[in-house]
Amino acid sequence: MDLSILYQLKNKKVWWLDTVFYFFIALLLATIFCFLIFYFKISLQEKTMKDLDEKIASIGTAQQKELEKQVAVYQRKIDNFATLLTNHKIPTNVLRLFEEITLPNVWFNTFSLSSQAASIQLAGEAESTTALTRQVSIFDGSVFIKEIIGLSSETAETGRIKFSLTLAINPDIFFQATPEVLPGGIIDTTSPSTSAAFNNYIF
Amino acid sequence: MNLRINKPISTAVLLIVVLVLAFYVVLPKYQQFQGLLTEIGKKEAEFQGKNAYFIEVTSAYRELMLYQDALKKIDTALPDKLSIAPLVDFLYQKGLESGIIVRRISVSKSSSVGVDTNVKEASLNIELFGSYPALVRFLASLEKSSRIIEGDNFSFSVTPPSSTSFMTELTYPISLSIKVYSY
Repeated sequence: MDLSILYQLKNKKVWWLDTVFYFFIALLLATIFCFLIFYFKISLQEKTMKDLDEKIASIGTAQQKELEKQVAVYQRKIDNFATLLTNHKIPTNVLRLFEEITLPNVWFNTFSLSSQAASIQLAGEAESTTALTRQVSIFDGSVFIKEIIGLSSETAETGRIKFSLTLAINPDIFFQATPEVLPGGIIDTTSPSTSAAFNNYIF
Repeated sequence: MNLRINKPISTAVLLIVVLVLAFYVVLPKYQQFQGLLTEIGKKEAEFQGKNAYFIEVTSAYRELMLYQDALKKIDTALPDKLSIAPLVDFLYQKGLESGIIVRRISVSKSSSVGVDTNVKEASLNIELFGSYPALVRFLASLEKSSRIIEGDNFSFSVTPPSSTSFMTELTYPISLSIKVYSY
């Protein structure tokens, strides 16, 4: 390192050397002052941090935590209950629908409902082929019956038409407050739940 | 003693000292100060958040306590433990009220309803004997019960009148499967 310039400056009287010298002294003092300021501020902040930590730790008292636990339990129970209630099926809606749409000259002797599969297996008898055809077309027209599967029929000894079929039903029926009654055209249907129907061998 | 300061050298030394102090002492302290400021900001936000959270929890608890009847109903609908005895008793009682005979009840193993829930479902197979109106009454009473009972499947058959038996059966066996829920 070439320090000769410093020796040259020492022997010469340069007007700005004093200014620079005192400026650096001031700068040194300023640096020390800054250090002290930061040191002081840091110690203050550390105290503030400690206070905040203590405040945070004191927030959740045993009582508050117990309340929190109870609220969480109730919240979970309410959520689960709401989910179950939303999915709560009302299978009697299907029976009410059948009471509405079954013709008086059609009888069912086997009824098997699966709400999981949303299907009904039916077997029964109709007074005539016309009655059976009409009943099937009513099933077909119902908004709650999606599909008629595997319809088979045969003439019984009594002259009536024995039939069996599977209905794929619209799951919405399980969640309706009251099932929608079929629009017009079945004025002459009699609910099988009426005494007349029960005197026959439907259900 | 004439003590003269070598100003050029002193200035150079001062420059070096100031630089060393600035970069190795003051700057790290400044960074520490800035870091602490950020940390305090975070802690204050955490404090405010926790405080607001517990205020909210307390008010939610107070509000919940206003609906104690509804909460009791929820507890009944979804009990903490599946107790078979009261359930079976309930089914027999409802059968009696509806005019249907409960002949047999079998409980199958309970299983969890889903992955993210601790609700369990238990399936019960019930063999009934009765008429259609009684079945409708029985099912309706289960649907309306305070305990969530899901009528899953049911089936029944009637023997049609034949040449040997002209009478229509008014009562017949009915098989019903239901689901109940608990924790």
